[in-house]
Amino acid sequence: MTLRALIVDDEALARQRIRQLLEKVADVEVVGECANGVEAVQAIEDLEPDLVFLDIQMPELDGFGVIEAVGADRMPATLFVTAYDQHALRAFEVHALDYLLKPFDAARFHLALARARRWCARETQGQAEPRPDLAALMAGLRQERPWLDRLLVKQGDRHILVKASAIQWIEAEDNYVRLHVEGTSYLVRQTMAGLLERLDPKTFRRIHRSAIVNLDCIREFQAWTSGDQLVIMRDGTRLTLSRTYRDQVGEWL
Amino acid sequence: MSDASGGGSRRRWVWYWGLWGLLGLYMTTWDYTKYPVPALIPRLLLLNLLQTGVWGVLGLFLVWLADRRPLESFARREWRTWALHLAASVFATVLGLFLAYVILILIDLDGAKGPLDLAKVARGLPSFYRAYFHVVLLFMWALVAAFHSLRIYRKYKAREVESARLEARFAEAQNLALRMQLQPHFLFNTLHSISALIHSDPSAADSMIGCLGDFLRMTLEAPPDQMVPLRKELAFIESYLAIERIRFQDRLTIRLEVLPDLLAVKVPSFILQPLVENALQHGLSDRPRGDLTLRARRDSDLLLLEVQDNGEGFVAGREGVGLSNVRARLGLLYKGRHRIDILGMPGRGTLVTLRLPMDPAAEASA
Repeated sequence: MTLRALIVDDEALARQRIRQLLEKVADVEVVGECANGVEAVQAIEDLEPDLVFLDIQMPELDGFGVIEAVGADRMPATLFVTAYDQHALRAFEVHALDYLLKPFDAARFHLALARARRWCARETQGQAEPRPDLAALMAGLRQERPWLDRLLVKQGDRHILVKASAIQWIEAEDNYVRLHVEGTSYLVRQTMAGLLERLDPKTFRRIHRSAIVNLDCIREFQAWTSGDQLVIMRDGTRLTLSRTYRDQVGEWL
Repeated sequence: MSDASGGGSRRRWVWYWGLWGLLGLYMTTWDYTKYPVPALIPRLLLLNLLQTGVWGVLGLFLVWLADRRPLESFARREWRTWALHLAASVFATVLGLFLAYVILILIDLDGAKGPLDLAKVARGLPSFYRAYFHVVLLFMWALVAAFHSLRIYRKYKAREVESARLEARFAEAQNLALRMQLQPHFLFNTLHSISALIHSDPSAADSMIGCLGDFLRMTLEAPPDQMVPLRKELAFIESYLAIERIRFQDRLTIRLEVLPDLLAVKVPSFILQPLVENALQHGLSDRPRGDLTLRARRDSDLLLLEVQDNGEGFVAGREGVGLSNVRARLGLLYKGRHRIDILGMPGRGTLVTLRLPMDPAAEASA
């Protein structure tokens, strides 16, 4: 079986190094190369590779951001590549993940590749090995970096990187949430509770069953009927602060 | 009086006896108002200097006691110490006045010759005590008070020096840590690039190893005082850029605009590298061609260091490790007397400007 591999690294020479090493490997085909995280998310969804060589330090969206955006459960087999990141290495050790430290030699590379092959092997071939638990890794990292500072949202077939601080408010829409960002909005497949958990409570608060606001974007509060309050945003949008959530909001009012 | 080192100790003795001597002179003028006879002045002087000399010796006893049992506070539990010093000063005054009276008889101001007559001493002593006891007791208290103020001042001074030294050491360690934080990442990535080049372009790999050698040598030679002439910092950046030039494979144009008379100005070592690294990474890495400009200018007593790229333009709120690192280091070194400006022009590049004070104070504090 041929493995279809994707190489993700912001440095051309680093990508070249992996390509060189894979050239001599018969059963691995390089299906794409990405120079940043956003490209990587797109490529993983479009090309559906079996294996990703994922650099951790990249500007904008880093390797962990890629996993976050794609979803740990939808990630292909992943070999992490890093030059120096004690923080990440500690997490890898804890979750017994395989990783490649730059610079690596051919022997070390092939050892990691052999392991990745076993992750991709079918159960019937008898050599299969369960994949490392990326979800647990991400959960572990989340304890140290609990809040999202960027979200990758899909707009048609494009991916757009949205800064959390640029989100003005978030609206619930059935099984989706709508992010209102500077005159436009993006629909994201997420639950209100799930998203709220990942947003910094210093900036984002739930004010209604169907609304989360960025506190920095509120202009004023007005009294409304039966204990509810009217929240007027900087751009004029009117939202309701319901009685249920008033106590939570009250802490900082 | 605890650290009796050579010169300091002699100076302290001169001060101690000098002040008692002055007191003797003062008392002489007082006595002169009672015996306004110019011919008596030498005798009055001798009398008073001898008397204050005796009090000075007794004062040493009070100082010795205060050094052993110093007053630490006004707290009630300290009452024993206060009582001890009160008793000691009363004792010193009583004894001092007795000896002073004996000296008075011996000097014999009235000219009534004769051997020391104990009966005469006993007769005059009560009125002598009435006249001088309260004044001399005040002298003794002043002495004990002076000792304690000196002691508290010294302690305060020592603490101040110690805390300044601790602060400096802490800043240095922190600075070193911040400086080191940036190196390993670059080092390992460069080694990785070399391992790629070995197979595709051996001569480029060769020159990259040479450049890395230069870079590492300069890192190791960095002075411990953290401030280097701009010339040295620029040489360091050049060796760094030589590596990046190979990595970017001729896609990089570098311009250096530095006024020659600024080359000797001291700047924090390795302060430019994170800015240049940022410019390359965020500004140029995804583009076919990139321009990087390094400028050093002067604005009255400020040194302006500028790093400019023609990349995508810095977006506020997206500060990386490199920049926050520079911020932290400059904060430690200049304590707010510097400025960092970041100007992002979307699609046209980023300009980072450091304004650093050039006055000697800045260099001294570093």
